[in-house]
Amino acid sequence: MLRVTQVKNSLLDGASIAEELYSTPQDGDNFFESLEKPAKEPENLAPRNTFIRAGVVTTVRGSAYMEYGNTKVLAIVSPPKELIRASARRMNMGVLNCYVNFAAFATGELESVPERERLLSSMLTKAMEPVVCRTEFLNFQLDVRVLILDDDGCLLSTAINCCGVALVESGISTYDLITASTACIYRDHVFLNPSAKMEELLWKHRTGTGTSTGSDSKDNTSTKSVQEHGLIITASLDTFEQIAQCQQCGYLSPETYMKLMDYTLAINKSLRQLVKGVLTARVREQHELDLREKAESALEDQRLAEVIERLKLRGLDEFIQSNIKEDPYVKKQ
Amino acid sequence: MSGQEDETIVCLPGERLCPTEDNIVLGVGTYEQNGYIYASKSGIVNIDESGENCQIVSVHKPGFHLTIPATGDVVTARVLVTTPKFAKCAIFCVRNVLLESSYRGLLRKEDVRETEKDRVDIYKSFKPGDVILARVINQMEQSFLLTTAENELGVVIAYASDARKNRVPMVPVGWSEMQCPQTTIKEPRKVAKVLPESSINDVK
Repeated sequence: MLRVTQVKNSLLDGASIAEELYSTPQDGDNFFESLEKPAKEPENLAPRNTFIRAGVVTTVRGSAYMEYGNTKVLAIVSPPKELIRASARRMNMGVLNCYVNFAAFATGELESVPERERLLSSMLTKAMEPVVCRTEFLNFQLDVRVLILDDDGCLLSTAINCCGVALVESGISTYDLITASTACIYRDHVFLNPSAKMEELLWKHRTGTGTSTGSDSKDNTSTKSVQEHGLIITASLDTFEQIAQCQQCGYLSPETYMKLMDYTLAINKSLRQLVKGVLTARVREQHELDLREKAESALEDQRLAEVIERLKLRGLDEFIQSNIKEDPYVKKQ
Repeated sequence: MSGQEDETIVCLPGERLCPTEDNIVLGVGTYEQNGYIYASKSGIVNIDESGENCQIVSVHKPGFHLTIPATGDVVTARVLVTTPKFAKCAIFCVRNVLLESSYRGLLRKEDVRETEKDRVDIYKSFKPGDVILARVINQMEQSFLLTTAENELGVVIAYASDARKNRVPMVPVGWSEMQCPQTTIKEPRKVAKVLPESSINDVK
């Protein structure tokens, strides 16, 4: 099951490389040149090397750990809490809250962390809401906490996948298994499961500083005024062919949008097989443990029954029974 | 392998189990959509055919459960505060499942006893710190409504209020009294008749 690429994450290597992340658009150009460019039309619609494990944290009832390439994420489902009146929204469904937190060592840029955490939390909540049977815990609030241990792109999609596994593990009713994946397009190259650097590049482009890159490539793309660039995150529920969430940023034409979405859906399908395998193995494992426990408790019951039998022979049972008197109020009637 | 698989069918959420028919009843861990029954939990499919010409399809999840008290469940709770009208409790056990976090329970004066409801005094029935058995009647907005209006429900473990360091639980000496074996002080309580396990087995 373990298929982890042991590549050292350059993001963790200290400030010198963190500065590379803050590269100016010109540097971005250089960086883009240095990137290994995939084919214009990706043939291999596969997820990254993935490792998922349910029930990693023994102190919590529902937890999951997932490695998606170099992105490492831990999700925890805490038991449902009662809604406090002040926050109780009048509705006939339970409330789902997701919290995303970065580990202190996960990312080099600390200033933007709170903002990113908030953004990811709200998007994760929106993605998970359609999956959970919220009618089953009325007036309750379910908290899902996600800890990001390592960031190498596809954060939201990995968090969604991990949360889905943790929810199923915790025994909360869900309508389906949820899987998500990311794809982006930049300068006509389609990147599936983009790395952190790729996302950073897109972000720079999006926030306007990328105009220089636009002008740079003006000669090549004189026919097109604006180049297509953008990122798509799709979370899908495959049983009913539903999409739980589709998040998009950047500029995309409808055709590209559909193309990218098809790619992500294909990746979701293969991820789903993986998640299924993991969860099925987990159920079998738990079932065997249960059977063993049952056998042990049956032995214990037998032992206790023998003890009670022995006590009965000594007439202790009557002593126990005689100690409990009848209800005076019932007797009166 | 095939023989083993007949006994245990593993299913995951969103897996289609069977079409809905008149004689098939939805059990735990399933839901219905578009004329089919789907699983909503990961676990082992259980088909119960004990009922008369109907089958109950349910999914049993091995390992952990997240339990929430439901209407009709017997719960174990600790009395926190008593007022003339109600007692506030913390539910920490549902049926035989110990909860991870306690839930709020509310026991009103009218629900303490089955008979002579108007003569009930909360302070003569419960004291803070008592462990009680109760049944959930209803789920209100912020707490569960409990009742002890049954012979088998009421105070199970209680300590005398003047007890010092080494406390010994009191022994029931009647339907409305408990006695401390050390100091022989008698205190009023709504005592539960806890059935010995052997007699429960006999009824079954």
